[in-house]
Amino acid sequence: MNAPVSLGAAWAELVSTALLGTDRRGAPGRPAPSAGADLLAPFARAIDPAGSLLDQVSAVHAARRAGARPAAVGPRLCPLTVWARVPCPTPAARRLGVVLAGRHGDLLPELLALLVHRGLAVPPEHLCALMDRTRAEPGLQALVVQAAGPVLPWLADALPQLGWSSPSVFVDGGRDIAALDVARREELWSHGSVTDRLALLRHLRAVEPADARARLVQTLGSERAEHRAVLLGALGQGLGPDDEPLLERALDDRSAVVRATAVGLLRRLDQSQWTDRMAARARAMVRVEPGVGDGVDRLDITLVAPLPAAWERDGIDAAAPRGVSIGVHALRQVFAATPLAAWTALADPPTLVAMASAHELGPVLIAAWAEAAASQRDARWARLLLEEAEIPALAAALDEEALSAAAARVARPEQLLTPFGLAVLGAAPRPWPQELAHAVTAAVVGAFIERRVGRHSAPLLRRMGRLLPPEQLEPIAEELSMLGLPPPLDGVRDELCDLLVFRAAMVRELAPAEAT
Amino acid sequence: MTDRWSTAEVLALAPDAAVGLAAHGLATPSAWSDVGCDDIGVWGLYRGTSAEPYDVVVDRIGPAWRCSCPSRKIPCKHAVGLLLLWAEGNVPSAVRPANVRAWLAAQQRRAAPSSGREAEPELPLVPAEAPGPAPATREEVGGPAPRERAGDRRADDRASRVRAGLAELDLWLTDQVRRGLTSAELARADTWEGVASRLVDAQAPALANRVRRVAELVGGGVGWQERVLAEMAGLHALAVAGAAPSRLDDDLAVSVRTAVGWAVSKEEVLAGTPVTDDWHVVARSDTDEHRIIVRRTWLLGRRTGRWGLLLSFAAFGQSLAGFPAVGTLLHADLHHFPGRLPIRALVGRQHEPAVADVDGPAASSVAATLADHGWAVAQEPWLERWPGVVRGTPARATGPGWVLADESGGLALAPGAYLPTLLAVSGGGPVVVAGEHRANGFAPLAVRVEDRAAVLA
Repeated sequence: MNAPVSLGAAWAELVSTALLGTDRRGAPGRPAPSAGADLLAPFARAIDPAGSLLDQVSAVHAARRAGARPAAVGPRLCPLTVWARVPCPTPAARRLGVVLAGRHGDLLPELLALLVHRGLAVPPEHLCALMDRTRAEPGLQALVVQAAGPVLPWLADALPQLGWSSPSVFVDGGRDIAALDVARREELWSHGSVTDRLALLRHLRAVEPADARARLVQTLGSERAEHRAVLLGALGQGLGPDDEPLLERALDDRSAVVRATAVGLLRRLDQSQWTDRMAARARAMVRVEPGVGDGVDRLDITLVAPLPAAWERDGIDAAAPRGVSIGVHALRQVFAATPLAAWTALADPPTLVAMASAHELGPVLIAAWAEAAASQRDARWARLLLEEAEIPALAAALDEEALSAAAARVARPEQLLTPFGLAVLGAAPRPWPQELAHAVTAAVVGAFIERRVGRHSAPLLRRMGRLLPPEQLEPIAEELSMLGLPPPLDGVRDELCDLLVFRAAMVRELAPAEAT
Repeated sequence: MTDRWSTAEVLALAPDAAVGLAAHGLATPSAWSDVGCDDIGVWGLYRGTSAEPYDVVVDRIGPAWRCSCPSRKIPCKHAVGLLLLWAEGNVPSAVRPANVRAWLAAQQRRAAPSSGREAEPELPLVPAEAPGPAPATREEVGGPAPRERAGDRRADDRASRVRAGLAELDLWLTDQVRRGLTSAELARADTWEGVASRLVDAQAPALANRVRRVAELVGGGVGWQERVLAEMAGLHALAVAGAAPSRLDDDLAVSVRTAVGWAVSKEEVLAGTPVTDDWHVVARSDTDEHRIIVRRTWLLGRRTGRWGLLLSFAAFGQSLAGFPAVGTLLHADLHHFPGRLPIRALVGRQHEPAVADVDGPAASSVAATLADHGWAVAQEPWLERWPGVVRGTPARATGPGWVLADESGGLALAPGAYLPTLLAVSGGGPVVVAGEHRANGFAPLAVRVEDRAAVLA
């Protein structure tokens, strides 16, 4: 008996013969004297070396496949130990899959927020699809990261090829950074990726804002433009008057992205040199001209064009949209950025609003003030301006009383499905009083009966479906489904009902346990 | 009708609550005319608000529906309403009108043939591994119709053409080995397509598709010749065995004929003894085989431990059957196709509607699934896919790639896009994975998460 040859060796021999060709290499002749000899013996046909070779390949290949043994295992992953979260119940997990597949995809943010609110883990089978979504919709990233919890950094570590930023960004509230010792922290700061440093900055902003600012000052000179902008953005957390000098300096940055970031942050400060400059510009444009004959005072407005360089430095956009003069475009931006308090020296707000609406630029002035009232959360101005124009942004600045009044007003078929109507409904204090709930239901049904909706209203109807209080969804769907409607109105209704019922079920599935 | 459904069962079919609600309103006999039902279908005309009545037909076996209304809900409220009417016993038995007959027959042809007892035109049959290159050829391959004498002659014709085709294939294979696999001709795609289309002409469509699958390995990475050689040897074995099937055991001969492209009629399969079990629908995989999408759905019997493979096909642009869904449990009769390794099957009688598979299938160890696969390869050495349900922990292999590891060792995984999701579900711990053993390793297709299954797409 010859020494046994392994199947692996027999295979290698057969492959090299086949590569060269039996014409050159000759027939494999006798089968390799091996454990497989019995297997191969019947195939050793002298007549056709090529056929014989294929016979043997066939037999050896089958024997190797059939005899495959468990393979050696490389290094094991360090298991994810801190789940710290309750697994998502299966119905909600399935629903997330359906939403990710595109059915009522606009409910995704709410679904994720519900998971976070309940402290439930994101169903792991949907994690990758969610991360893919954040690539298309970066606005979702923070929510996805928060909802996913520790599995995300764990997976990013296990599979670096995914390119899912650095793990440190993923941890809630920077807790793992808080755990780092000083040396490790300094190492992260000097050698970490931009996302690492951003995470560190955010963490420091929460505990030692001045230290974060000092690091930023020291590093801004040496960074690439987009990194400078991202790092500067970290000031958004815990933004305060002390940050102003740094932001003021950033207005002179070479990069437009950095300048825009700085303007965005300055806008959020109640008072600064920037707002002072805006106020001065605004005041210089407006004069009250005392009424001569009728005794009614008028506004006299002087537009500025072309824009001085200092205005553009402060982020005033010089590219007016078509049909709008540069002077008007600048006026609107300056007014919107001016603290509303700055106007009281000129006249009291009711008089100002009255004079503005009498002016030929009235709509522009009202819109600019509405923007200011919304961003400065000025309820008094918001209420005044609301009397002139129903501007959706104002809803966010109204106080509860004014909101309730406005909600009662918009709960009518002809008012409800307007951007303003929906903005008011979204902001109205919850839970809705009985009367409002009934009025809104009647208004929705009325909008269908009075044919105020059609295919074109689908986006508004969807928005309404997303912002209605959950407890109103099914009552409205029920009322609607009883309507006899002709096509295409029945299709519009069915789509809306589908959304309402779907969202109601989603909210119910993720309702806190004590409520079920 | 002994198998009348309950109202709740009907309402479970509604895509949402609004449809169910609306359907309730429609389920009054006065709103309907020309209603009727038999053991498969329910039909009727709904006189609604529109001028034309809506023409509604429901195939209860599918289940499938057709309604002339413009609603995009599937099923629409009319279909659900009609079923409610029927469930409440308000639809009399009747003979199908012509248009209903035509539609139901088309449904039966398309769906899993749960109603094999229906006298129906011969179905275009589909070979086990592959659906044939193009619908036209499939039609030809289709009907062995042995009852007719003309059919006999056709079958004889075909047998001789297949034999000639196999001989030509083997000649080509041995020529390649004679010249050596490094020849430039072998690396060209049109060489292989030529071989495949000659096999199509020879009416061996399954073998033609196998050749096309081998062609995809050509030129793919270092050492592709070695992988192609292994597949060529499989083709060679089939060519030799297929030329003289009478020298093989009966069941092996059937396996070889199937792999070459002879089809077994569905009637014949459904006439066989079924295996009744609760079938775990463990996994499915879709592959593109020459412009036709093939969907394989793997079933594992809870009590018998037997496997079943359901095949469905869709031409470009058509959608594949979603039934049965992965992660469900199907209490049904399964009729296996004959062969050495009876695995492909048809669903016969379904005893209960599919339910969510909460417990999941029993899982094997790594060693056990490899042994099972080995046994299957020993039965049919040309086997390309074999199912498995394994419990293991994803880990890195010693070389490149990943394995599923347990105390018996590692199961090499085929590369694929499933990896991040598999790892996310595992969290570094053991998971139960269902998949296919393939030439390049075990391909995970589904993984258990809590009390459900997640498809690894």
